[in-house]
Amino acid sequence: MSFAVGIDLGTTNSVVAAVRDGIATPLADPQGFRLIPSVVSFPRSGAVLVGRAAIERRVDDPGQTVYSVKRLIGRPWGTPEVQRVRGTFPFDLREAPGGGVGVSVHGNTYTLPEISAFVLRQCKAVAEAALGGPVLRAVVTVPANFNDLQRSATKTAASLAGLEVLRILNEPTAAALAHGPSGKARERIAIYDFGGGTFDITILEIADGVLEVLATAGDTQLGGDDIDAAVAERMAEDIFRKHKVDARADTRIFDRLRVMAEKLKRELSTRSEVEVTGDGFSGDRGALARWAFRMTRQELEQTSLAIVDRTFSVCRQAVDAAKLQLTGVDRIVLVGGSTRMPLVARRVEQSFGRRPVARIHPELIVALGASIQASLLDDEQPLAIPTIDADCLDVEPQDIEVLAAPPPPPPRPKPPLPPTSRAPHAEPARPDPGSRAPRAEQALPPASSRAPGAQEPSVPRRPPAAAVAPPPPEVAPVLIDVTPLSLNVETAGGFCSLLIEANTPIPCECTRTFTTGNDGQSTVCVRVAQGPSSRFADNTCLGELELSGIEPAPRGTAQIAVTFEIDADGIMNVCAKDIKSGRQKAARVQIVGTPADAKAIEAMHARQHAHPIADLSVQPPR
Amino acid sequence: MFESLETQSYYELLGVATDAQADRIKASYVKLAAACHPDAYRRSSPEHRAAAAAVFKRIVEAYRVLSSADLRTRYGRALSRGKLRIDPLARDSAPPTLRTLETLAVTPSAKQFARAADRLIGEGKLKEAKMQVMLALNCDRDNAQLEERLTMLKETMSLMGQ
Repeated sequence: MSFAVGIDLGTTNSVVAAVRDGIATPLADPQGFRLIPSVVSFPRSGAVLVGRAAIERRVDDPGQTVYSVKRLIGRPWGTPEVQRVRGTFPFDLREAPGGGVGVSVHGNTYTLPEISAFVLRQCKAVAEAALGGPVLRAVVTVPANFNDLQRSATKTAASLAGLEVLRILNEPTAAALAHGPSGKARERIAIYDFGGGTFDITILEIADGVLEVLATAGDTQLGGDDIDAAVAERMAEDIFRKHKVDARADTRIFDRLRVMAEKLKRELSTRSEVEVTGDGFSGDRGALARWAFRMTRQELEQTSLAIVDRTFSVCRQAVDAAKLQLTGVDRIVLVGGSTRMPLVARRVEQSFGRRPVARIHPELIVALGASIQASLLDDEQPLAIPTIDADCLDVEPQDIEVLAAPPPPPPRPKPPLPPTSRAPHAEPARPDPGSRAPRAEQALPPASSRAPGAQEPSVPRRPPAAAVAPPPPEVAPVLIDVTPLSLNVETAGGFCSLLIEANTPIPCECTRTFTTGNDGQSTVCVRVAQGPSSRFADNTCLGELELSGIEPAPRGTAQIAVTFEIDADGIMNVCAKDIKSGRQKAARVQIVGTPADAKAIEAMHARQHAHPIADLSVQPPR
Repeated sequence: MFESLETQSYYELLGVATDAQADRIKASYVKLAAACHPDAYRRSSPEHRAAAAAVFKRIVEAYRVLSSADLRTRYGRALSRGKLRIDPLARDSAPPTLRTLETLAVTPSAKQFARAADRLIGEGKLKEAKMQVMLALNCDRDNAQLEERLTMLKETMSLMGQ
């Protein structure tokens, strides 16, 4: 028997979870740790180190230890986001074949999906050790505002790791799924997700057990890392005052300061004052003597207030798009490690006029939601509404130190209760199987008397489920997600023609008719972009769609119908049809920043196979 | 057993009266969207899932139009002319023109070469087309967009082993 899992592939940490006996549970490595640092280190020889084994090497072997790739995955090399941060990493970023970002280690250039694949392989290994069987399928989460390129790159990473992707799921949607229905007829929920590298806000409405995303907004360059960097700056100022050494000019020292700053920040979530010492760390410009730094929670809050408050302008964008006020939200769910800072919870309460809930552990909730979706989508699992492991419930943000969690106790015998009786959020009364058919019948588009035309898309007279025997014993909650970004094509003069608006439920599609600009023209190209701007250049160009073999005709008379689909993973598919000839055209989309050809993918697979990852048992105890 | 999507108005698809209130439309949409989302048919055949997806997409389209007062008014006019669907985002009726190499070229002589290249690409003669693009670039120095297209053409050729 093989298993399906949910994976929260994070900027700083990743978490893998699975539904066992109807209960969603985060999976721990043999030492009992549930957070897997998204860090990959390449020693000169031997197995690749991933996770906790790699994190110390950020300090000892910075040039060969790669982290935070999620900030850059799926971004073309030439984009400002990449160029701005490339110098801030101690490892060697360079352009990969195909125009994406690569990391050069020991003379090999790895694309970022390959780096993420190592992290996913570690997640897979942790899950296989915990579940005792092969893990072959996964729901992998991405920030809601990831574009097509970033989603595709994440999907590539999963396939390199040997996982079939059941769904690329938006992180806030996963969090909402973990929270489950409230039992109220209609509730508006804000998912405030402040992680290591990204911030996302999603406004959801749950009505009659159906989850609808009203709006999403986010900033892919705003996270706890920025707070760490701001604290590290203060440390560097302190070092300069005391030792006249500019630590900011030395990436090795500054990176070490960032690691220390992160630790300091974490400790200040539970304490009011913390002192850290760096002894004798050496950088490119010589060694630094022992140095102590003291910070109070109040000082930390002053340093991070401006960063935290940037999240609220993003929140306002989202509530505007949902046609709401900040105070019109019924429930606020905190997600992500950065929400464990008391300042964040306080500012959220002040802005929304309501106390946020942190009923499920904010660093585990996304993986738990993903595992629920995985179990609902996975054919091999029985249909049931999973519930959340009690260990992850009813936590105060500052009460838990996940990394210090003791190894889990031996599995407790599960009481043979039906899931609903254990469920903290029991599914509202479901119709019994007998009442299912009429409900399905009612759900049908009303029949019309006309016979279907041969060319027309046709739909079953009844919803497909009703026609399939035997009917499923239970209908799992369906998640209706949306596409986060508008999809556009380039028009004359560098402007955009809008194809699919942001926040449209997915899957969705749009068909547009294009024509030629020249007499006898047989090839046309369309550039496609995602983003909110009406100027093409301000959006993210996804690639160029080439339609060839058009029947030569006077300009403006050829008609090519192009259908752009955004599938349930939020990934774009395109097909084109010559209306006159009725012929389906081979629409080739050259996606920028990703290797388009099979050869490059094969090489990526080969590199994965060439590198075993270190055995879980050799992970160092903390 | 199949019913065409193309014969139903948005009101018929959502199963609501043409004068239905917004609440009623939304409730019907929520129910239908849940029932027709392809995930609800994940254990069914691919044909069933594809059919469900087609219905789902159309239901979303119907709701998108009927949930907006402006679009609903516009749709009312279209319906009275016998049109069952409208494109809520299409602002003008003229279909967008596509970018050809010719439109990217600036000088008249470059345009001439680029037009030849457009034709050759259409005929699948990539090698000849490449020559024409290079000639066009010779007339249009520093035309970054033409350069980009030349690179793409070369990549395509190398992929095809030419």
